[in-house]
Amino acid sequence: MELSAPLIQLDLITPQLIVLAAAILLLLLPLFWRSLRREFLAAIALAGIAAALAATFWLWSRPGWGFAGMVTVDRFALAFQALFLLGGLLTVLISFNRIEEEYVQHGDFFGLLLLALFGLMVMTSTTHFLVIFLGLEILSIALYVLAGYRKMRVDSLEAALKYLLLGAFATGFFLYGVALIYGATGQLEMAHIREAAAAGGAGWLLPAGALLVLIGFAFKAALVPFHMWTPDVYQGAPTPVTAFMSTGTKAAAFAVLARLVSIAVPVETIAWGPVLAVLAVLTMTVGNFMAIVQSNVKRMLAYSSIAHAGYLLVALAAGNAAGRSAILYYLLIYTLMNIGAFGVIAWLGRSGREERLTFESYRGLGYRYPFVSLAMAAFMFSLAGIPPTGGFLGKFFLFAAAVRAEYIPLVVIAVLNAVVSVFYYMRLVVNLYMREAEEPAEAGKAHPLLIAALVIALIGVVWLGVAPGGVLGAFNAAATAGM
Amino acid sequence: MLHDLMPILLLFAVSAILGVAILILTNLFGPSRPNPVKLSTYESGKIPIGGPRIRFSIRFYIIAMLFVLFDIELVFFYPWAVVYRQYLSLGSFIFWEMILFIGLLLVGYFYAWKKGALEWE
Amino acid sequence: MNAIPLNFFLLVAAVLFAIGVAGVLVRRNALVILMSIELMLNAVNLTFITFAAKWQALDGQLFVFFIMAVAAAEVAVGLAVIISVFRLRGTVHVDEINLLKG
Repeated sequence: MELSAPLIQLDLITPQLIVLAAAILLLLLPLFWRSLRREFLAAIALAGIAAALAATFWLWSRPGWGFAGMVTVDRFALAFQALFLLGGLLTVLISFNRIEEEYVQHGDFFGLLLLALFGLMVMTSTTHFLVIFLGLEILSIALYVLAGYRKMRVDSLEAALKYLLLGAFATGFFLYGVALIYGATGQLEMAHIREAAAAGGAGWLLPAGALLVLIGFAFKAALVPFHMWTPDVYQGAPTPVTAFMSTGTKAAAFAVLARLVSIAVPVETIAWGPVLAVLAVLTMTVGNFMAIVQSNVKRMLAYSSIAHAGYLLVALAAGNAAGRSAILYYLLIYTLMNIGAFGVIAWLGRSGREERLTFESYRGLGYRYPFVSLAMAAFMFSLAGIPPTGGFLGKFFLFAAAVRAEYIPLVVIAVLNAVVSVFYYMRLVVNLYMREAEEPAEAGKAHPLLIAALVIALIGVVWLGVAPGGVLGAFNAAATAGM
Repeated sequence: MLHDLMPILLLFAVSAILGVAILILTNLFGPSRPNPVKLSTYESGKIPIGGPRIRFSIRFYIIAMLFVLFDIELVFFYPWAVVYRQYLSLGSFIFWEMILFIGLLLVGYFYAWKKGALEWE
Repeated sequence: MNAIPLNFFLLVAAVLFAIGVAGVLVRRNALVILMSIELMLNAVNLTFITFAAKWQALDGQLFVFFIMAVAAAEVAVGLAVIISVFRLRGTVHVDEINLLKG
């Protein structure tokens, strides 16, 4: 057997290593010093995330491939990494509220959160299915535990159980798909799969495998008809975890799907356009119409997140670089506005009791808590896609990519859906400003870190809505990298 | 093809026929004189002291889960051990690689230990 | 001696996978659902090993190692969650666990 020295380029995975080190530190430190302050642990988490973010920007000008094809750090991967790190940062910040302070007393919560973040970064900085699988499972197992973190509450544990059973079920489909792709081509790396398929007509195994992989990630990204778990899990899980799940997991699933349809199994093998378009229509429509009838704000946001996955699918169906760039841009805005909205929900929670989740509990807050209400209204406007927020511009880019690929009917349906969605987002804004409550909700003093998260999200949402230039340029570069 | 599998199929057939035959024949020809001692559960000759469906201590599950987790990680040692000598000629990387792997496992072990998962209270 | 054709193994794996999927969809006991998922993963393992033999390559077999290790971790978390649910609710039937409606 011929031996060759293993290829180790540790510098390529600096961000991942930093996040992993911070996670291990957060898990081990409290074992020795039991009375560490929450703020101190959060500072470690934030420092790790900030350092990883810096390393990601440092790598932007020197992308590369390493570990014998196992690791692909192109700009597409780096853009997603920055997105995840931003999401992780905001999630750490919004866990400073009165519900979470009752049980987030130790490093485990932040440690698991950073492990999930590590999984997201591993999963997207590769084109090798084995590494995708490992990243996906690091993410998923950490999230199963986080979803059930309030272990004295039945709804949290049930969310964990449902998420675990359906997540593992989805993993089974994903793995069977990968096995069939491997059977058809003998390869596990996406570019090699494409070459092998082009060389010797792979037969029906390759499309069958690709569809199974699509089903697996459809569960993870909550696409209709694989969305049943979403509202239950989003409602039951602790609010910061829900915020992280709804943005991070969705983004990672779309990163892998974008690579799947543009690198591994191109349109010559499967007509991805129609398949994804049908999924998009189903996902948008079911998500929006179910969101209308919800009376619980967290469930409303769960269905809204399903609908948003549908908008993202519209651009994925387009299958062009403009579509991928628009997906990145929209996911960035979605991360900001969705975590922001969940941050407000977390802020309104009462200590020692339930979170306040009905639309009625938001009545009359507009004048009592002007800043938080303004932020919530801005996030709702952005989710609905009303200018001048980032949500409008993001949707515009998504639909423009589909128009360029001549999916006109699909875009018409998507725009109609966006109009429908205005109804339920505005319902919350109306409750904030135009209704008086018999017994106004008392929120108390917000933690400065929570306010910081809302400020960051608010600035981001507005800035991306009026000055997309620099970010969009970077994402355009990312969308063409390695595809 | 089928010819190759014939011995296995024969084995299945013979064992199935034998099993069914014993059940039927003993029922047909054997005398049936039950008494309470004969009908009681066979516990290696002892008189049963209670039903088997009792709850176990949760500790058993935790120890068992930890065992499964650490046990399965051993699977990665085998391919490593197979190529260890060959790759050692390329430098000590292969050695430190496994040290790192064990180090990460130790983090988990240490966590379980410090959290008191190994104590039998 | 003639080897058993690889297609036989693939067929067994496909049947096992289908039984696993049916088990997840039909059974209502969380533990049984977890076992059905394990069945699906083992079907995947068998498929991988068969294809590794077909391509005379090791990467398929390596994938199986990782699936086994990850499945063990998943089951450990799964059992922990199921035990916690049982402590609070006294049941592991997913039909009775319906505080959160769809």
